[in-house]
Amino acid sequence: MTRWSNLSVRTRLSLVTMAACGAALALVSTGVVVNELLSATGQVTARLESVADVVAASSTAAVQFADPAAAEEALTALRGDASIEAARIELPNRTLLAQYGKGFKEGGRVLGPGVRQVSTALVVSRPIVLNGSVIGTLHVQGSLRDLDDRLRRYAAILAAVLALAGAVAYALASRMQRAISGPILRLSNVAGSVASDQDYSRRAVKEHADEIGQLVDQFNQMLQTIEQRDAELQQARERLEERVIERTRSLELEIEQHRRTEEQLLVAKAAAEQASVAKSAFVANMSHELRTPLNAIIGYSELLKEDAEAQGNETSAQDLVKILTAGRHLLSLINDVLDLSKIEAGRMELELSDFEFDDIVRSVVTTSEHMAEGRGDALSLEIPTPVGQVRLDRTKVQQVLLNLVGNAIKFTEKGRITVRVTCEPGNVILVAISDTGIGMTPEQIGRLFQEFTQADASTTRRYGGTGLGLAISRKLASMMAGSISVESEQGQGTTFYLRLPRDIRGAETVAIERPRGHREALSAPAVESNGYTVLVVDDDPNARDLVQRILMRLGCRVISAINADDGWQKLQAERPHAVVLDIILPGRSGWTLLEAMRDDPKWARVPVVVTSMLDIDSRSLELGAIAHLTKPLSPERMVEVLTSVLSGFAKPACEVPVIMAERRTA
Amino acid sequence: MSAEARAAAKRRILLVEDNAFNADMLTRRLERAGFAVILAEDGLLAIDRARMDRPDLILMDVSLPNIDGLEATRRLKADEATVAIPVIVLTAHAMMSDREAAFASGCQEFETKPVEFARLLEKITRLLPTGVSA
Repeated sequence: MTRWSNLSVRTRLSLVTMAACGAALALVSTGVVVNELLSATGQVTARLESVADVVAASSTAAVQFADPAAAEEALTALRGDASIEAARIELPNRTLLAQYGKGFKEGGRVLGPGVRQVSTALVVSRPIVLNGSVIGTLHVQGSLRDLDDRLRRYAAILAAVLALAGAVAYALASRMQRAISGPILRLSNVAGSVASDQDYSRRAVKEHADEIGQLVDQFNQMLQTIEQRDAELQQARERLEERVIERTRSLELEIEQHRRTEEQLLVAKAAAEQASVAKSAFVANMSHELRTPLNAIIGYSELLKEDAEAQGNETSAQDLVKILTAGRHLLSLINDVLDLSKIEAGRMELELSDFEFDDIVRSVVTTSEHMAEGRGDALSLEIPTPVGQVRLDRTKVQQVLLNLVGNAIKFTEKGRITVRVTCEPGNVILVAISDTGIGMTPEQIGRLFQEFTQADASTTRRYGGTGLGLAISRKLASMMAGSISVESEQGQGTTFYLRLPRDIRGAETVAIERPRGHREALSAPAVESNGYTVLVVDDDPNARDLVQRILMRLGCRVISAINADDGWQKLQAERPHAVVLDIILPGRSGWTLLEAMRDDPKWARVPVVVTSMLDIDSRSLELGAIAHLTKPLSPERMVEVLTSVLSGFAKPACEVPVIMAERRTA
Repeated sequence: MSAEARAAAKRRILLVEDNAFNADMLTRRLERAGFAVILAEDGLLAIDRARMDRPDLILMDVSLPNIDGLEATRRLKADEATVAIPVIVLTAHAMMSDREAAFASGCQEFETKPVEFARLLEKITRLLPTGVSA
């Protein structure tokens, strides 16, 4: 079956045609043969019957007289017919009377009355009748061999006819099937080439309006649809490609633009950096160039003042003091300009840490008390509700507070200054610094925060200062996401408001916590102990930590104290070899501890290194400190100083002459 | 005590300063404060004077002809003959970085110009070797 279905349509068509043809021919032939056979048998039967009738008639007498010879004589008449093989005459009692030929066959198939067939022989029996009664029976056996021959001939002829018919049928079928399979084959070829070449523009040729024709039509229609879709697809692809190319081009343009912008930015950045470096260099040079002549001016003025005083020339001395004041003002101006240029150059960085806000305010007020006393002012601090811990730049908060409190003292004589710390909604800390000083007019307030501008020119003459302090403080406050505002009435006094967030973590991205390099450099494993103990007095844990790391790296044991009193107790308890001391501390200042140490022979010889954001090293040194290091601390300088202090212990006293000489005389 | 003896007993300060006004002013003020002053006007001369005169202390300017004050300090501190002489760098370069650089050169103290004379005197007194009273 599979083989059949795998055959080509063409072969199958031919085979079907031939099979139909062959079957028809075979049926027809069979019919003819059967008909021939039947008619031939009938003819033979009829002939045999007629012969039998004649012989029976002629043998009546012989039978009547039971004369075998005569009967045989009668039978000899049968010789004339070669197809008669045998014959016999029997009496009614079935005894044989006479016979002719040999091989008479008994039995067989009865074909009709008195007719039977035994294989290739046909036997016809006829009664021999005399006067109405049967006196014997004649059997004549005719050969059907002729019939067989004929049949064989027929078969041969039929076979030949069949073969011929087959050939003709094949020829015809071949031609006819071409009419059917041809279009299919051509359709198939077209489909094949379409499939292999992807050429959907080809069309199959419609030859006839039959089913195949319809198939071709539908096939062509399908091809057309595909072709159309293909074309649309192609178009879409082309459009897409165009768009891709277009987009790529615009992207390239954009990239090019970006690159150019980046280049320009880099150039601009380099230029800005260069400008910044140039500006810093300019400021440094300017500072140097201004300081050099100023040195001569102040120096000679002091010389002359001494002379005038020695000579009792009051007027000259007073004039010289004016020159000196102006000179010193010029100097503070230079210092503030440097500070401001640092802020503007973005060199100033935030160092965030967690600390108790109230402690800082308290320490600033304590530190400023000395100055307030000098002006005859009463300085008081009010903290109704403690603010607690904040996360800000501790040093800058101190600097701003010192400036604002210092300002209030400067412009208030024999008055009252109140520092009040409160909390505002939204985690904002408000520090109000009120004074009962000279106050300001609205115009003066308007100019207040402008650089180099004081309330008016006469203020500068009377009170000194550069007018930069507030500008710097305001910039520092805004670096910490805070603000400074002012309320004032001339003659009544002024209130400055400093607002700071509790935590500027939101702004931490621009703030740099602490130079990492230092910390890492200092976190090296501690070296072998050198046996020295150093007391570090500082309320800022970060500062304490830094100093402690440096000391530990040098091999020292470190004890910490968080204020002056704590420091004094630790001093008694631990008897350290040296002290590192901060000045602005909660409660008593570091100077009080220094003073107490100087006055106690037990501690007078212990070297003290002062670390403070205050640049008043004269006070520290006056009180007997071995060195005064200004915060922010430079770890390198710290190491240097501490190393020299420690090496002083190991070597003769003359190597650290400073303290020894001083202390001995003290 | 004779004048010579008093002069001999005076502490001697080597002032290294190229600016004539400042050199004159400081010399006069130091002398008034009871010191003997030797002046050198550039870095190389300063080293020569330090070796020859063995002053008790050196006041060193930074911007100087030939070699600058910091280089001179480095050389003085590298020389066994002069290493013990205390050096105070006295400069109009007043930036924090200048301070660092000065200490890095090996000086014992740092002062900025315009000089606050009282403070300078304190530092000088503190740094002067003990044993001989002024």
